[in-house]
Amino acid sequence: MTRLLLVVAMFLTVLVGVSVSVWTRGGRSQAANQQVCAACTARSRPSVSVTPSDIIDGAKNPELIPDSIAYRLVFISVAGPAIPSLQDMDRQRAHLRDAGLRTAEISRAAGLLAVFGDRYGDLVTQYNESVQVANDSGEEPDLTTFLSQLDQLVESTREALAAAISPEAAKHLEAYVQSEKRNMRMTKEAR
Amino acid sequence: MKRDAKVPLFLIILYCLAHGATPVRSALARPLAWPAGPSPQGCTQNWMTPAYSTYTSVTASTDATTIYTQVTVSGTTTGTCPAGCNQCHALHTGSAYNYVGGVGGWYNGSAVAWNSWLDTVNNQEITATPGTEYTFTSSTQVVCSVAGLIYQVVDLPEYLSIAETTVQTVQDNGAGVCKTSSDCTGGVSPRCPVSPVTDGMPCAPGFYCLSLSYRFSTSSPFTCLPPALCVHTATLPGACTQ
Repeated sequence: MTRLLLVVAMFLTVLVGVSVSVWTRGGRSQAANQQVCAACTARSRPSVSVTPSDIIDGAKNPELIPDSIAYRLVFISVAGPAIPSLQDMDRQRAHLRDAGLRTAEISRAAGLLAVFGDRYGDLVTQYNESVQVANDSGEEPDLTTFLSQLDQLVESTREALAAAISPEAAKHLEAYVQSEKRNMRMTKEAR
Repeated sequence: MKRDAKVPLFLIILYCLAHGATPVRSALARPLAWPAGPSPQGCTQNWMTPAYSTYTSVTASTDATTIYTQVTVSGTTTGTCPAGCNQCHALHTGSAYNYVGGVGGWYNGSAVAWNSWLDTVNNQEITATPGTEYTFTSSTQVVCSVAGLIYQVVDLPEYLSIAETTVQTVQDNGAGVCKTSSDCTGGVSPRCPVSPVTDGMPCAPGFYCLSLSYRFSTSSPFTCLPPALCVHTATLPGACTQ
């Protein structure tokens, strides 16, 4: 009898759990898009130790982080790996949501960022191969051209994103990248 | 995008021992990028210039149940290896430390030629219980096989948490914007107040919201990160994280 009661109790527990889950999912699907958090602000994280000592700290001087580097770092971060896992895709959606994009815009942006990731990877691979050849022959690799290619890729991705999302979302994305500079550090020589 | 292959720390230490270089962990304590004492035969000191950048990002999953953290180091080293210098075949290794809520650690990229471009990305995630704080520590570094530590950024530890907020609609503008006020069990003040909430028309009577928050010590105030994720609720008042 005790066992029977125990089984019934467990069954009821499972039922309650399922109903809560269904309610939650139903509620979420009905609830709408972006919410505004009254106490929210941009995240900014100070460093405690840096080498070399004159590193530019975006938490203190975000204006000293060039847009080209900030966008490149954000694009690398959000693009994710060439073969993304489910977690990678959710991480990407979360970042793009944080950047102010809506669901339909997130799908379009994800496609453009995948292209960015592929091209970026190709450029880096080609450059590093050229470095090996140059080092073996005692010459200097063409870093200037490589950096120019990276900047062009970042710029074309920015333009493609701006064309694929609403003007309002484009403004949000710009503001997001500017605020993320607070979480970037770079040497003065970084390009 | 291609990523560096993961190289176990012991392999790097073995490599460094074989090449007479400073292992990663010893290098952490070094305040200077270059070894003290006379420069090696044919080399002038400081001919390498680190040109790297670091980026740390934090976000909550789309259902606010998981916290994602990411630490990236990217860039190269510039300079011209002097003729006759025996350091021209130096290798550089980028490493990113990402430790959140007891998960993660160091991720070491491949050792590449000193003037190659490197990107080392360390992603971690943790399933978060609302109200529980998770310590996030991060660091990046680039270690040269002959010069030791040439680039390092160590960030202040950060305490991340998901905060619950229950709110009731107090004004519906008829266009989907719902002005709300907190409606917390026990009348507590929520860590992350949420208003307005964008909803369908008309506004639901109440919402249960989750926000990612952080602080830099366990005694300092919290900062909440947008956007909050909200779902309808008919249970008012409801849960709030103080």
